[in-house]
Amino acid sequence: MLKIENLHATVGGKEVLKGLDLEVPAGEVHAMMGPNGSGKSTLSYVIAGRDGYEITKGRILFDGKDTAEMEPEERAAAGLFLAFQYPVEIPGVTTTNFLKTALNAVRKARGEKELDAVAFLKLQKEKTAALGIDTLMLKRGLNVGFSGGEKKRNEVLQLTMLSPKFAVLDETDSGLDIDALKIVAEGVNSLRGADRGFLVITHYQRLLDYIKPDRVHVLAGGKIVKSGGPELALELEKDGYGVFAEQNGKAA
Amino acid sequence: MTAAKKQKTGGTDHPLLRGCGHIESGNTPDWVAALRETATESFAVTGLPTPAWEDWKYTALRALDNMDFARDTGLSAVPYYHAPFALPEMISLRILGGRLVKNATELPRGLEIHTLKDVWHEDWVAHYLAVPGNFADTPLEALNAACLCDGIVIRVAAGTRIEAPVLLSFLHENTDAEETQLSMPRILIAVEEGAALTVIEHHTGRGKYFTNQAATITVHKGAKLGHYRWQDEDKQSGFHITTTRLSCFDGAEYDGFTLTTGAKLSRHEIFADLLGEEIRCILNGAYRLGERQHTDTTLKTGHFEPRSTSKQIYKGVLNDQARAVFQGKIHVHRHAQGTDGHQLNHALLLSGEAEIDAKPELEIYADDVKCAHGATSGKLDDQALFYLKSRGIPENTAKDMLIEAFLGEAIEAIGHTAVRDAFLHLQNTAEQEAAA
Ligand SMILES: Nc1ncnc2c1ncn2[C@@H]1O[C@H](COP(=O)(O)OP(=O)(O)O)[C@@H](O)[C@H]1O
Ligand SMILES: [Mg+2]
Repeated sequence: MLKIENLHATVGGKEVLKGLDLEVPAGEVHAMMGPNGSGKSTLSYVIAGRDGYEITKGRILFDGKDTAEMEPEERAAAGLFLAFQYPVEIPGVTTTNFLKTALNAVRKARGEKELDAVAFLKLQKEKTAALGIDTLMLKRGLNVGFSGGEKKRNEVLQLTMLSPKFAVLDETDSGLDIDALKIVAEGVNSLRGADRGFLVITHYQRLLDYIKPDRVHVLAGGKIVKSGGPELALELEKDGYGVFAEQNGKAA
Repeated sequence: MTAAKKQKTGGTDHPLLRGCGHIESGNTPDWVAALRETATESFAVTGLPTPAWEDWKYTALRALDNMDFARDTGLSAVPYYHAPFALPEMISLRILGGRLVKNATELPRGLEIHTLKDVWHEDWVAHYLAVPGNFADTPLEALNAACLCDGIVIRVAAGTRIEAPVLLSFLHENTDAEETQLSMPRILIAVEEGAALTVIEHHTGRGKYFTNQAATITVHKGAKLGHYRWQDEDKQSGFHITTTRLSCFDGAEYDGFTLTTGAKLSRHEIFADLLGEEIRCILNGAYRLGERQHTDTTLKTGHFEPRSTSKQIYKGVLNDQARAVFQGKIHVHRHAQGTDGHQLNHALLLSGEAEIDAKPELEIYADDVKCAHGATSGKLDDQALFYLKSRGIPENTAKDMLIEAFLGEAIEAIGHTAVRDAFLHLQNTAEQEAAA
């Protein structure tokens, strides 16, 4: 479903990804772990198509199609989703207005019928309740004045509302207490299925207790340095990233 | 003004004075005749201001130099017009060629609305309008006075709070003629002691015209006026200038907002005199312009007595080669201890060729005051834009959402809830039109 080949990417004139290979087939959840600064967020932005994150070599295929020329909104319409590590605050745009515009834009691009206000509100209510989000938050400026945990839940709300084919979650677990973590994991798990894929970026193994990955990869110095089954996450938890730190340092 | 400012287009033969056409004499009160004479003389000396004038440094009226003018007789019907919104109980009035179109609307007790001619013999009208002003620094106001032949007069009797908002729609239709139509609306709003009123102005039209409005507004002790304007003139060929003289007395509240989306060139110049204590005077606004549109907001607020608050907060979005000018001066006189003055202009520039010239100024002669002023300009937030796009929202929609949010913050400050909602909605529709 998502296939990354020999990806080299620069940001701010600096080469951060240096030959990254990764394949996440449909139906699987892969975890990406790695020390700070190893390029995890950079990878997520490159996948989402953010300006300024430039692919200098290699390519990213989504459903077999090279994404290089696709705008971020086209990627979203095609079914890609990124839950941001640092969700952006947008004063004056309410979460509801944002969700409705996004959902209908995506539906329209996919040739589906746009939802009217009633159908939309019903869906929003259902998804909001499932994540334990206070509906008052939906009327406020997007992410404005939200706590770290509220922002992350809001990312997962967007995920469950848009129900994309492939989602990258960038440290969605950071800043969450254990109860919130469980709720968020449930939200993600509810979407798991044979025709969906996930790349779950995390610094800690904790999240992986709740979202069981099929594969675990370690990113250091802009490359995948090790891959394995779920047990790899446990090893990392025990031994830390020490062994990879050198590779990361050398690369940085 | 010195003779140096006299220009070749000056003199009583100025095309703009000629364009005003024949002013019917006869039963005009003496004060009107005197005012016209003083104003004509003044304009004959100054002519139109040029960028050599300090207050006109950024706004050139050159485009008016080579035009032929004809007075807007107000006879052209404007059949396409619909009020931009309907508010509960709204009293809707049309102004054509600067003249109020009479209609049979029954007004609430305590509210008077007249066409100036009907009441200009009355002492109280003369009291407000017969001021032998010095026009040297305000040639456009002089031009309006020189051409004075009618206007709109609104008064609320002391102690009367009028719930029904009054909508004044200034309409123009001049799509065929060679000449630029001139209209010189003269407005008087007097809110007597303890009274309250909401007035909305909608300026719109099609074709070549120049509206040069002068307004005299007085908010007496403890009175309240909500005054909301939408300047929505023809973007290609409409010119709009308004000079407002606002006087507020003890405990008065003036809540003003101007939304500017129209006109090829516009300027709103406000002289706000806070002549009493504990006045609250809000002069806020928002503008959104594209192509080669130009708008100028020049505000002069004078705090004369203690403990009044004034706020001037403008937000604007400029695209293409549009240009905005924001000049604001808060003058705190020696007596005005405890003044709270706040002035800000925030502009978003969507293109490299758009331009904002902001000149906020403070002049403070009292020592116990709280005054802040500032100006910022920036671009759309890239991070926010990417966030929206990453959720599937097309770039243009995403930009509109951010612009709408940015201007919405200014509009949110409108004190009248229904008008605020209507204005929020207006800017949305204006955007959709712009995008189409
Ligand atoms: N805009 C930028 N300009 C320059 N360097 C950047 C920029 N963004 C990230 N980097 C650098 O790229 C490296 C990887 O960052 P990032 O992808 O955020 O790491 P991670 O998410 O794994 O912590 C870091 O060394 C970081 O300093
Ligand atoms: Mg990161």
